[in-house]
Amino acid sequence: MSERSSDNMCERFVRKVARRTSRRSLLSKLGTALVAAPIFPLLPVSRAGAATPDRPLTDFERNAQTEDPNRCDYWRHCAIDGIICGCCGGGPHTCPPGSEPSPTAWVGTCLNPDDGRHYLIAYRDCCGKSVCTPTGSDCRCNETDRDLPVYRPQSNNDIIWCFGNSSMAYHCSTAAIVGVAG
Amino acid sequence: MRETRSIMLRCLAVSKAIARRKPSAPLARTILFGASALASVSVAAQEAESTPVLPAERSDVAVLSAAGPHRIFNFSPFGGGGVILFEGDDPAIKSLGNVPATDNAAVALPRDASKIYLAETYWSHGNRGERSEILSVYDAQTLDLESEIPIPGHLHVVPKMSQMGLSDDDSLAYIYALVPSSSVHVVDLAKESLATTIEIPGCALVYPYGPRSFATVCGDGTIGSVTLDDDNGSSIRFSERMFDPDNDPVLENSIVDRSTGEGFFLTYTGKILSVPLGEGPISGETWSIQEAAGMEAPGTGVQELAWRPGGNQLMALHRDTGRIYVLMHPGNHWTHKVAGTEIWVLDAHEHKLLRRIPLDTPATSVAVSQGEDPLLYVFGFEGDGPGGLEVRDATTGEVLRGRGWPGFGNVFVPGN
Repeated sequence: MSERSSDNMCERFVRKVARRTSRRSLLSKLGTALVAAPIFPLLPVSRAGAATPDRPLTDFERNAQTEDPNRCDYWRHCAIDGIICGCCGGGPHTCPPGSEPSPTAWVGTCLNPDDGRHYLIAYRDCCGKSVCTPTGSDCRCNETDRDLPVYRPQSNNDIIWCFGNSSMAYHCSTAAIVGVAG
Repeated sequence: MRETRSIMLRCLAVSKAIARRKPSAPLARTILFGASALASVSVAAQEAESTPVLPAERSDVAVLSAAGPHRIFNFSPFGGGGVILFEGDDPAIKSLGNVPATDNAAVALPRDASKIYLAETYWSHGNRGERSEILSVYDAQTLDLESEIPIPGHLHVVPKMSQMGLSDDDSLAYIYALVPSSSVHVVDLAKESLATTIEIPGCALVYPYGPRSFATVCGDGTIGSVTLDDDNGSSIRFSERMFDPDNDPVLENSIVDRSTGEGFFLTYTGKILSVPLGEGPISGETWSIQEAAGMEAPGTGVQELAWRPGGNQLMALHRDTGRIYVLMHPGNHWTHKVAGTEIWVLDAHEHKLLRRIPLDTPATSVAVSQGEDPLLYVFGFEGDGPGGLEVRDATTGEVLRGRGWPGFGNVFVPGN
């Protein structure tokens, strides 16, 4: 059995158990403890595993650049939706002064055109301050490569990810490298 | 006074005569101008004497008429925005008033649009401090706040029609939340209190139907349906896997008619899952809107150019006629948020394309008024400049009127 199909089987099993089980039950609590943390990096890895060298590039991947992280077409922004923190005093993995990174994130799998590798990108929101007023004309982005709806939250770029922060107030979004995908 | 006026009129006549004889003479033009001015002042003064003085005014407050089928509720919960009300028949499409909302609030309207329900988050110090989650209830004619119902929370997300909805009888509000788990808060609107919270692990969003049911979409490709009993207990049922959630998922702004339970779940590639929701097993048929238009159904290729659905509120249903309006654009797969360059009008039951309406400017939201003489509202135009709201005849697609302003968001209408 391939890694991909075993991943799929496990995922289907976990989802089936999860949706038919009350959160208050022991099984659900065990499931939450076991699944909640690793599920975020695991699912995109399995998607990235499906990417092959002969897979056609998306329009974003064709046009992505690696020089200016404060533009929407920067390679890591393939699935970002929000205001780039680099336009607000931060950087690709740095929150602007006075804000704090969200402990959770949605993830994308983006192609670095310089080395030809796909990387897992964690789009952590920076939180605790009102919405940033960006300096720059190309700072409000909405890229959607492999963006999935809210019922696949780990891959959805519309959710405000400031869960667990001192305030749910959204300031801007970063695009930190998690590692090589697949 | 009469004598003075007579002299002035005489001067005017003389200067005109001079000007006629020597049209280029500067002196004559000066005399003409001066005399004209004097005459005007004098006439105005005389008229003022005979016109009553404008009365002093007392400040009052406007109240709207009850919402008809063409009332428009534009919702944009960002940067101090909220609900802006318009009348679709108003040639100027001027604002009738607005209701503020916190960032990332959610909204719902009862069928007669007599109230506006807003799920909101407030902090005691603006963007920090103590957090309070409320369902704000506004009167939709006075736009006065009527009550604040405490709720556990709501999902903060780019606005979606399916974040919050009302039961068919307008008695229950279903509010989707993601903290601490994927769940739906049910508010009894008559009692103004939380009735229950229902956990829907693995699923998200609410599509109400009937008196005490709502559908939800699940991450394993199934459609779920939750029904509350009289004691606010709940049960959930699921369909078989109906769509591919990894590659061709159902779009969030899909539609369920809350009276009939007819569900129309639109996927990224343009398939519609027609799912009649009721008490029986959840199943349905899948059809392609491109095939309904005589084209091939597109696949999921990232370099497969085809007409595809895209936008934010990209789909609307006219319930009486079963017409579905979808924003479409030419693009590859994963362009599901790209603004539409056309609106396709489809017969939801015959699975036929009825009309393609080209748009001058791509748009991200579409809505249609309910009942007779439906109006089509096109909103959220692309680009950095002012957006706007365009009102079209929903049958012919013809532009009737419009208004530009820098707006974004969704459009809600009575009767849905």
